Amino acid sequence: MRKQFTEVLVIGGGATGLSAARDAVMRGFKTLLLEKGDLAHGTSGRYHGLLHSGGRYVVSDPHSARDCIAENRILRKIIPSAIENTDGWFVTTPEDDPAYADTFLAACKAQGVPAEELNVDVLLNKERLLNQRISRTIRVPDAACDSFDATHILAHDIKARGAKVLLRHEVIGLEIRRQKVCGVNVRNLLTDEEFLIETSMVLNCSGAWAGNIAAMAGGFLKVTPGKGTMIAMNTRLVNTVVNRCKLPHDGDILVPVGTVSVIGTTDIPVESPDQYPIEDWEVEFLLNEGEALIPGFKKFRALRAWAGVRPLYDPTAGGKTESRDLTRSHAVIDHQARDGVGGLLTMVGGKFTTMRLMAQDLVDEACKQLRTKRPCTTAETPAEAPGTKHYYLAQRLNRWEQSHAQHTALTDPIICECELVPESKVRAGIEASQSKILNDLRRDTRLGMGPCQGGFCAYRANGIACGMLAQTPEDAHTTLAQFLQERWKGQRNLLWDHNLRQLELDQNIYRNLLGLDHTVDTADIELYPTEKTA
Amino acid sequence: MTVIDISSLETTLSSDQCIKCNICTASCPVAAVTDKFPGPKAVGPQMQRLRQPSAPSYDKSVDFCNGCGVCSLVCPHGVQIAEMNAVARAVQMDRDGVPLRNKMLGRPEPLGKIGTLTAPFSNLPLALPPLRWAMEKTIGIHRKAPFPSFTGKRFRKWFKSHAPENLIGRRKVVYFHGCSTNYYEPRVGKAVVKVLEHFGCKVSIAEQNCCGLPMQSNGEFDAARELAKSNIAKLMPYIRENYVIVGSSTSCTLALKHDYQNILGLQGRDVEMIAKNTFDIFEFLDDLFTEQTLNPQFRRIKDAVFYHPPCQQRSHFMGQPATKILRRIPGLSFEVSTADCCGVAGTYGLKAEKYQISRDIGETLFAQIDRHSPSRVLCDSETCRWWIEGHTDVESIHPIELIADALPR
Amino acid sequence: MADGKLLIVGAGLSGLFAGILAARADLDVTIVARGQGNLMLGTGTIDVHGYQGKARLEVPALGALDDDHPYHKLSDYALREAIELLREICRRRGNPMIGNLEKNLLLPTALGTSRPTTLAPISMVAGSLRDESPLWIARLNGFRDFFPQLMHNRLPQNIHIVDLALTAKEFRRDAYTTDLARMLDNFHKREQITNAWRKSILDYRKKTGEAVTRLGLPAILGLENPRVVLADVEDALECHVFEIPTLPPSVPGMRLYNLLRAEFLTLGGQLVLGPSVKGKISKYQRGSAVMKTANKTEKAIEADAILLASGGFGHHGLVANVDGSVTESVFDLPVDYLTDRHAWTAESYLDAHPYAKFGLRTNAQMQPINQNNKLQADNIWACGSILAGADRLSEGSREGISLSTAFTAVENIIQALS
Ligand SMILES: Cc1cc2nc3c(=O)[nH]c(=O)nc-3n(C[C@H](O)[C@H](O)[C@H](O)COP(=O)(O)OP(=O)(O)OC[C@H]3O[C@@H](n4cnc5c(N)ncnc54)[C@H](O)[C@@H]3O)c2cc1C
Ligand code: SF4
Ligand code: SF4
Repeated sequence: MRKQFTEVLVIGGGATGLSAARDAVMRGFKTLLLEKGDLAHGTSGRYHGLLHSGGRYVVSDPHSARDCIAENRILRKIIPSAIENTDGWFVTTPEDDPAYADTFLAACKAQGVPAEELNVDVLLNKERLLNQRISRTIRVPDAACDSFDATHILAHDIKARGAKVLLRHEVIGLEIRRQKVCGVNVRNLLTDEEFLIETSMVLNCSGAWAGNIAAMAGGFLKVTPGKGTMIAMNTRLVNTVVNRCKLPHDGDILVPVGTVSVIGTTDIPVESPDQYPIEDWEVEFLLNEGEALIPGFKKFRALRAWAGVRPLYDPTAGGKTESRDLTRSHAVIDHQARDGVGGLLTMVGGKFTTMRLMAQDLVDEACKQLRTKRPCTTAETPAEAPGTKHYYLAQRLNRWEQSHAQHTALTDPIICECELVPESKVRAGIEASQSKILNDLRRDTRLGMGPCQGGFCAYRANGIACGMLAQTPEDAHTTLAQFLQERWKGQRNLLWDHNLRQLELDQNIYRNLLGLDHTVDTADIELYPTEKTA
Repeated sequence: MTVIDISSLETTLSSDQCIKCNICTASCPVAAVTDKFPGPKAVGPQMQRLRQPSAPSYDKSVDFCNGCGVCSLVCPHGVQIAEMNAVARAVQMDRDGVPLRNKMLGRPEPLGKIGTLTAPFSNLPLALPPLRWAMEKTIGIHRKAPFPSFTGKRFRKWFKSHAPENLIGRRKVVYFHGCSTNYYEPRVGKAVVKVLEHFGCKVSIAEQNCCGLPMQSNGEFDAARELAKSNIAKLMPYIRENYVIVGSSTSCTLALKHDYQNILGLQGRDVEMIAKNTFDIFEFLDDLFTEQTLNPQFRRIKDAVFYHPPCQQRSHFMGQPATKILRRIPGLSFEVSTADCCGVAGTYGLKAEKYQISRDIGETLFAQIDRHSPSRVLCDSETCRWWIEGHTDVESIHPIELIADALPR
Repeated sequence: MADGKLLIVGAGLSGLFAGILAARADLDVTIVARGQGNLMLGTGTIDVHGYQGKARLEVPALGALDDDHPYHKLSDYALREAIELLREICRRRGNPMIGNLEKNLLLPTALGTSRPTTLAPISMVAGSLRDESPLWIARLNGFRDFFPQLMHNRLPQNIHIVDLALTAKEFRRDAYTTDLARMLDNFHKREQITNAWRKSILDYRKKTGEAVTRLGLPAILGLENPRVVLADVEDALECHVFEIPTLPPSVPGMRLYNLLRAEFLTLGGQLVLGPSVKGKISKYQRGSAVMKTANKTEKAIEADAILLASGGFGHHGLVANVDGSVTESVFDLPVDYLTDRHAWTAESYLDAHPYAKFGLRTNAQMQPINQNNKLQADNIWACGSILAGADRLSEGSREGISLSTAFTAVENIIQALS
């Protein structure tokens, strides 16, 4: 068995894990991060996309609200190119109590969340699809944050600072000696190779899976996975974040993220973070909630439905509680104090928005245990990334138009037309990841995330990857089928009108023109183990 | 931001319907002849998802769309591609400023006024090669682009002096003659009046101004909206008096029927009433014959002609009533063009950077005309007629002129 | 001979073919379609019956299909005559189709699987997989819609890849199949391109010592005169050349569309593209229709008979609604479908999906009936992909059904009108 050593070992390549690794490496620790899937493959890649201003929590959870607004300001500086400055609005629809807006404004003031009530026309003139009967509108500094962009930037930064990131490496056990974790057993999921990594400190940032790691240390940690379903609408029905001005509830936020707008979420406690199919009633519920914000919402094209699991930590561990009532704030769990096993800290709770702060608290605690004093500098130092400006929607269009003006289309054709991903980006993505899993390429580039859901681009990307990775056609066809199968999961709940037409075309491409169903065994297209989540 | 309005939102949001099938791409006459234009799907529904009202965008290739509407016609899913492109172009121009050339081409009316006053002298500059060369270099109007010649006497003047055949007609029609009939081709207007009166209509001509289409397609939405509103105001009194609006230029009537709402984004009862009560002359006649179960008799005309329904005509979504009526003329043989577009598309082909594209598009049509060697080419749109004449040496007239000829004497 | 007005809704294969049949019988035919049909997306071949389960069929085995399959509604000559007529039109109009009902052709797909079909354009047949000789496949550099490395070694035949320059001159934007086809249509460009290709083939031979005997290209061999293009390319490259269908737009499909349209128009038919059609059925069981014009008014379409060739879910003949119901889009005729949406599709994306069989139920005259076999209107017929009972993709039967049901429907319409 191969042996390695790292000072700090982070489990989980989501927002929290990446932030923790960044924090650790910036404090001078030799750092390594393990992720069983791809970057953002867990909850982070399935979240709602909202960089909270804190507005949502001012009334119900003031502490969170203060964290959010502080971190909102910081993240805009450290990962600007993942963030679109959309602003956000709290609106009173005819279904909401108009008086709540006053409570809301007062609470914003108290928690230091900038909020300004403006004449409804200001918003309604800009967002023409919104319910014209909205009676109050309050502006807050919400923003949209793309999780794939954010995690890619962080990973890039971490690696540039000397930390190691191992994807598709699952932690399968902890090495515990004298009541202290001194290493982790890892399996490379692509090769099935297993090995040990020795370490002085394990930071468990595995989100909804945190209980599994804790169990490896013999501890019991109750993390209730709370499923949240969202629907991406095909276009940006709004260009700003729209929240219902009422106590936080299900299905009350619409967020423009990249080319789509996302309505969400539901919140249902589930058994396992790996198995949580989307129910029809959730889809119906979300579309109906959409109607309150945008009359005629159901007419628009719902592109894809997916769900993520909230890693909600229940300190009382027991007693039946609705998952939304569990505290949203994060906590560092010291397994030394709790279970008598040292060298392991677990991060529970939290939000995407507060990932940096969570990491700071976690690494502060790690420093304490490692008896070293090193200040956190993550808030002041922007991540090293090519882009330093905020994201805006027309970016790709502009790039494409410019390259078109230079007549370079021939050498760099657009592979995914919906999301305007050119061949050069596809190649760069495959080159960097060396992964033949097309879903990885999707997370790298957004390939296949537009209206045709891979109808055209999957074949093209497959052709390119097959050449670059020297795949056999058999192997390539399997990866193609796997990708389509993965896209299929998000479409099946939404098969009416547009999407059924789309399906007819896509099926015509893959089953008629290409005959893919006659080259792979359709009965069991084995998805890669790490792509199997619902 | 003045360009996108709520009902043009309906247009832009039709991108939701796109399944990326490329049917439109395969049929676009511009994309078929040039690699400067990425095609309807690419600049239409595909780009639309990435356009953002508040952010800077460099969105130039849509300017190569000539607005022929073929894409919207062939798309099985109701994506209003051509309309979307018109809006996108206007947004772009709104940001970058409208070139002087486009402003000139967008204003046939003031140009016409000066022109007719000074005809025949005003026809001179447009015929002089050195001047045309200078025009191309300075403002970008192609030196070979055919222009109509001004006539001395405007249609409206003639109408006022003509003795109506029918003062108490069964049907009340207000004729929307458009700029070209007034300034360049009064003969078309005279034919329309003659035919309508023959079939028992009471014809009036309202005060009217340019329909606004030239401005709209040259990216000046605000100005076009002003023209549209002014037309609506001038026509509404007639609608209230149970008149219907009949036009002979299929592009003007399409503006009234469709573009005011779906491209310029005007809203309200008036614009709807105007839209619903506007008819193309042949559509009107066809309906009239059916409604009143008329079986009109025409004089025998021994002639072989060629009919090219212009793209704007097809975009009315009403089939080809002209062919139904032409078929009633004994002795007349006519071939119908299968070319989608003659190329000029209003003022598109006059522009220096697009002239060749328009010519290349026209080749299909010109070859068909050549093959059939008709005595005349019939076409319902003025700019197409001038373009066809300019490139085939075959005379081109409005089909209504032939009908007027065929009326029993 | 009959006399009367026929309205056909839909301009796909079945609509155009029905239009031609009816116009030949002197009916006054108008086709109204909200856009172009499925031909532009398909392979350009005529599939009658290619698969039973996953097995490829040597010969169509219609007898093995379910009882309520549209093929079982036809007279025994409908399919044969429809195929013959199509073949005759295609030959006359310069796009000969090869094959017959006695034996399926086997042609390669772009992923290198073999695809059974009844008729294929002449430009495809040199790719026949009944021939065991090796295949050379062209990789067009810079063309994003065809990746022959994905078919490499999939077939029993040896496959070799030959790199060819996309065009002689640089193309300044993403090229679609239709762009390449139009270049090949143009005499001068064709010469340039084939010269460049010829050089590549010679180089290839020099390098490998192999003589290319048959060369597969993506389906781009011209829209206007495929026979000439094929002949010129074969002459220049000194080998057999064949097309392999790839991503839409489909050049072979567009050729079929163009020639059927031309045939229809020559016969005096009217084709109105753009408007969608809405209809009503009166209490006397007569259907009438209007079309939606650009100013959102409705224009009546005179028709003694109405033929729905409006397609399945892909082309708005059938529409699935948010609430899980399915409607027929013109007359709201009763549709055969499953009410449980979960049962519409299979777990596996690439498996047969039950929704494919949804559609209109008809009697043997191709007239829509409800679940109790009650006729819905005396003057409405249906044909093509709107019909229930067939899973066209899984069976490999789309075009065969379209042609033969159009044939039968028109036969009955003519009888009804005379
Ligand atoms: C529906 C929903 C909507 C949300 N919306 C918002 C929002 O709008 N704004 C906001 O700020 N927050 C939001 N959140 C919260 C936010 O998404 C999460 O707090 C955040 O993404 C958690 O990140 P994480 O890194 O802790 O967890 P994850 O992203 O889940 O990362 C954990 C990672 O650990 C990996 N892992 C697990 N076990 C192992 C192992 N044994 N070995 C190796 N790797 C392992 C997993 O593969 C996973 O990638 C939302 C959450 C949900 C569920
Ligand atoms: S706009 Fe219409 S025709 Fe064009 S690709 Fe989209 S769906 Fe097809
Ligand atoms: S309007 Fe005409 S030129 Fe413009 S994209 Fe459509 S088909 Fe092409």
